Amino acid sequence: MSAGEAAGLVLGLDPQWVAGGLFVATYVVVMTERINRAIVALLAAGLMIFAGILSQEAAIAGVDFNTLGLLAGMMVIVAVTKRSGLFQFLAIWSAKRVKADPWGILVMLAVVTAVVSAFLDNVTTVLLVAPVTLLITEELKVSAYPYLFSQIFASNIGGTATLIGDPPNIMIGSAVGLTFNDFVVNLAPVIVVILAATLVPIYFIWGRKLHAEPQSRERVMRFDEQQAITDPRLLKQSLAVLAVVLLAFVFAHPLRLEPATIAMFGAAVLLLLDNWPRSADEQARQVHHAFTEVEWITIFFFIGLFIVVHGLDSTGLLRRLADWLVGVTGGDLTVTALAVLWVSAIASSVVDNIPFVATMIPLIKSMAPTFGGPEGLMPLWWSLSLGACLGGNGTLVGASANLVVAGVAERAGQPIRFVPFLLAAFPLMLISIAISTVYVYLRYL
Amino acid sequence: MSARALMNDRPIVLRRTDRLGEAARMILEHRFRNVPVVDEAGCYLGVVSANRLLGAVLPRVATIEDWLERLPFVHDTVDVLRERWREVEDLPVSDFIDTDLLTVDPEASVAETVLTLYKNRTSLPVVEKKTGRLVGIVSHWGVGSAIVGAGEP
Repeated sequence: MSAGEAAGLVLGLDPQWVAGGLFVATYVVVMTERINRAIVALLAAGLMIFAGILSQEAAIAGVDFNTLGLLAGMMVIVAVTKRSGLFQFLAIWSAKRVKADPWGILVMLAVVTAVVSAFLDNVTTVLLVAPVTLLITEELKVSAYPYLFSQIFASNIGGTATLIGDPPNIMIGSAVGLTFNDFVVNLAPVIVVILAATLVPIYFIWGRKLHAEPQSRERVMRFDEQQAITDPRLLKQSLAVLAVVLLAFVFAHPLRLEPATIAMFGAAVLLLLDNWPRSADEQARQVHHAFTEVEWITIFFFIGLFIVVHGLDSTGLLRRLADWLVGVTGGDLTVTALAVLWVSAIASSVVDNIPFVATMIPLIKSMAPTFGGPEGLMPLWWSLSLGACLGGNGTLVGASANLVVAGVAERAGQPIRFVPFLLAAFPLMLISIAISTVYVYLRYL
Repeated sequence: MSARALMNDRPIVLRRTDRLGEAARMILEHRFRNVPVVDEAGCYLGVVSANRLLGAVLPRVATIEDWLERLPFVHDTVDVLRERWREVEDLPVSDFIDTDLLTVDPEASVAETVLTLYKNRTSLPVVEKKTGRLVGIVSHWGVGSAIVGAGEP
């Protein structure tokens, strides 16, 4: 029995009302962006405990340390790796492979962004690719807008393909016990189709008008990608650790390893390789620097949110909501899966997909008896992942990577405005969800 | 004794509508590290610095935060930099004003003035707090002369 169920009335109120109210208030305040989301989530988590809905022990039990460990571990690996110049190398190399043709560069950078986003955090990926994009477009004397737009899409699309590509997948994978391979096998095929399909309208809207003078293209061709590698030793170490980490994800199941262990161990090994020749003082500085690159706001937001959702779940409210949803869909798996897909997409285009997925996970788990146990829920998990990750493309506030790119564009004097972005992005997002609908229906229903 | 004792009270200034080319000419001619910019009423708006001129001939993205800390892979020649300069030299200096330089009130103490100059690492605009008017500029050379030399700022 959970603390919530044991608690009975809270201050004379039904615990479901108190937990539900706290949850809705958390959502609303996070959406207003008036107060930092980590502060809001931690305050709400504290109030869940003060209200007696959860004990501290139960609250800590609700925190998914597998998700946190995987996120933090990968963030440290990226923080160390990016010092090597690997990502600039990749961007320049890909631009030169298409002879600095403006449309070719757009496609190549989108593909690089999608592939890197599949394995690393989306925000980090766009933060690494966008500056090189601005440099290249400046040399080509073309607008950076279509490039940045396509990279926003590519980061969210690519991130959907793997367990580690986007926080919703990390949460779903951890909560349901899905492996890295499960995500690749089930989502990567449709992601390739969606990325290709997304580039077609981008070509007709912007791509066909992109032209650069021969001398501008020559400038880009003179870029020397080898020179972008600022630390060859660190590059080799980083690539070796990344390769071993990815292999460990692939073989995690037979090795009986959890993602957090792999990511954290990989981070520790990379820090060791990078630091062992250094003095104690220098090591302290380097390790401190790597740890400061961890997005602590995201980590603490997760901690608070896990507790809030766990509190809500412990009152039985999510189970009631799940029963109601099953009633509405008539217990039909096809209707439920497609409803999860479309509702997740629309919701994630306007609200943060992390709290949305955190709420949906226990809700979907509660539907297991209706659909023949946990195995019967698989179409719902893939629908949730596709909807929550791809939905982020719908508006400028749909995903953190979108806002980061918009911030970069603004500083570079090429602002991405909310409404023009919405007008192009929302229909494109709907196309990706339509493709997902066909895929989920044909493959799982 | 105040900042007034250390400042040059007839500083060379730019108007915000002056062209960047004019700012460059002044900076090169007088070996300034920055030139204050004022509005029609003589109110201080900021400075145009020699560093900002350098930034204008670099790829723009390389001068923003630490997005591209190094450019070892870019092989732009002086001709390319000259081409970038031609694209910006006729723009008004108002597009290139830096406002993050510290300023000091003319009535500030000598120690406060020298400390602010020390923190600025470049010449210090002397701006009246009440009116916002630029009344002078304190340079390292002016302070040096006042202390080591004949006492003339």
